[in-house]
Amino acid sequence: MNHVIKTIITVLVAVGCSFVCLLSVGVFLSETDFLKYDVERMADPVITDAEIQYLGESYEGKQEEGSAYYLLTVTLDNQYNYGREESGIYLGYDSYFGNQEIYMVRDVSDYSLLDSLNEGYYYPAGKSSVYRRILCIENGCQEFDIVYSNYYTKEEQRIHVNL
Amino acid sequence: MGDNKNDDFWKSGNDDFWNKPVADKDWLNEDENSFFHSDSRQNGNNENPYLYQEQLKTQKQTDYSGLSGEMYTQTQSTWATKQHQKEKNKKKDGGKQVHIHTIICLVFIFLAVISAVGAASAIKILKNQAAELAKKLDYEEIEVGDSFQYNDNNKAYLEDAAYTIVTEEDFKGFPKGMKLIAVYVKVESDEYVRDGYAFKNCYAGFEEEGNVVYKKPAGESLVYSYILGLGFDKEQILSTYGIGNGFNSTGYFFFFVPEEVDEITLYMEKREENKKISMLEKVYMKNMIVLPEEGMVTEMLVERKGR
Repeated sequence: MNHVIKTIITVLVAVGCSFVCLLSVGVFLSETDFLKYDVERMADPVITDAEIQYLGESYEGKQEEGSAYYLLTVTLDNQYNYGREESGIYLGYDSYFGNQEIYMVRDVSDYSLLDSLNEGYYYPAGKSSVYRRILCIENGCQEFDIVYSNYYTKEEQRIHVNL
Repeated sequence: MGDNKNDDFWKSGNDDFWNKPVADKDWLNEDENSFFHSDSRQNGNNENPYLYQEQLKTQKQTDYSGLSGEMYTQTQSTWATKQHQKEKNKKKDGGKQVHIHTIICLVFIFLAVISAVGAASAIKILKNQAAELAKKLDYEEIEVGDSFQYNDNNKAYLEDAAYTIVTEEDFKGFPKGMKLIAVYVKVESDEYVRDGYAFKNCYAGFEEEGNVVYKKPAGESLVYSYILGLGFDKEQILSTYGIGNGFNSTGYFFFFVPEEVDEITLYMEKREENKKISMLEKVYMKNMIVLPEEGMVTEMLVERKGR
C-alpha cells in the first residue's frame, strides 16, 4: 500500500483512539463528580408494615362506580444515610395473582399544594415513619401487592395486602 | 528433480516480477536503458524482455526430469537475477514500513480499549463502594440547649417554644385540620468553611394518630401567602439549603402540623461531606412546646428581624 495512505490511516487511528482515551477520562470524572447525588437515589427505605382501612364508597366528594376508597398506611424504615422526601416515594400496586382476574387499584391521593395528607412529610435517615395514600379499589378485589422498586438499582420490594 | 539452490528466483513466488505488465513504464524504461546501452542490440539478438541473450555472462542449464519424464530446462540470467534482487529488496523495505504502522495502530487501539474499559470498571466499582457506604448508618443523637456550636464556624440559638401563626379559621382554603407554626432560629458566623452551613437539613418530629411523623419546613412559595398579611417579609423565611457559614442569619422555619399537636422535636443534621458520599455524623435535637396563636406574640415575631 502507498506509504502516504498508510501514514494517513495511522494518524487517523491515533487521533481517534486519543479522543476515546480523553472521552473515557471525561466520563469518569463527570460520573464521579455526581456520584454523591446518584448514591442518594440508590438508597430506599424498607417497607416493614402495611395496613388498609376502608373509607367508604365516596371520599371528599369523589365517587366512582364499582369501586370503594381505602386508606393505605405503610411503615417505612429508613436505615440509610439519606432521608427521603414524600414526593420521592413511588408505590405501585399489583392485583394480578396467577389466574385471578385483574382488579383496578388506583392511587387517588390529591397532589395539590393544599393537600394536607402528605405535604412536606419526610423520612429521615435512621428513622421509621408512616406513609399514607388514598386508594380507589375495584369491588371484588380481595388482595393485592404493594410494589416499591428503585429506579437505579432495580431492587424491588413486595408487600402483600389482604382487604 | 534436482535441487538447485540457485533457483530461488523461480521458487521465490516473485509474482510481482512475472505479472508486471509490459506496459509498466519504470520497468520498461529500465529495460529500455539496459537494452539501448548494451551490446546486445548491436548483436541483433532476441528482444524478449525477460531474457537478453546479449547480457548473458553466465548461463546455467539444469536438467530436471519430472515424473512424467519430461525435461525442464531453466536458465538464469544475471540481469534477471538483478531484477529479482531489486524486487526482493523493495519488498523487504516495504515490509518494514508496514510493520511500524501496524504496531503504532495497535498500540493506540490498545490504549483506547484499556482506557474505556478501565473507566467503566472504575465507575462501577466506585458506585458500588458508595452504595455500600450509604447502607452503613452510624451517627450520634445530641440533645442541645438554647445555644450550641453547629459545625466549627456557626453558633446557633434556639428557643424552647414554637409559635402558632396561622390556623384554619384565619384563612378559607387553609389545609383542613392543620396549623402553621414558626420556629425561631438565630445563627452567628464570621467564617466561611466549605460545606459548613448550619441547618442544612432540619425537620420537625411530632406525634400524629399514634405514629411519629416528620416534616420538613414549608417552602417560601407555600408559606408566604399566609404570612404576608401578618407583616412578615421574605427574608425571615429561612432556607433549608443552609444558613450561616460566614453570615449572621435570623429568621423562622415554618411547619404545617395537625392542629392538635402541642409538642415538637426539632432535628438538625450534621453531615461529613466528601466527594463520594455525604455521611450522617450527628443529629442535634431540641424539644419545643407549641404555643397557641396569639396576636401580640405574632407582632413580636414580626418585629424580630435583622441578620
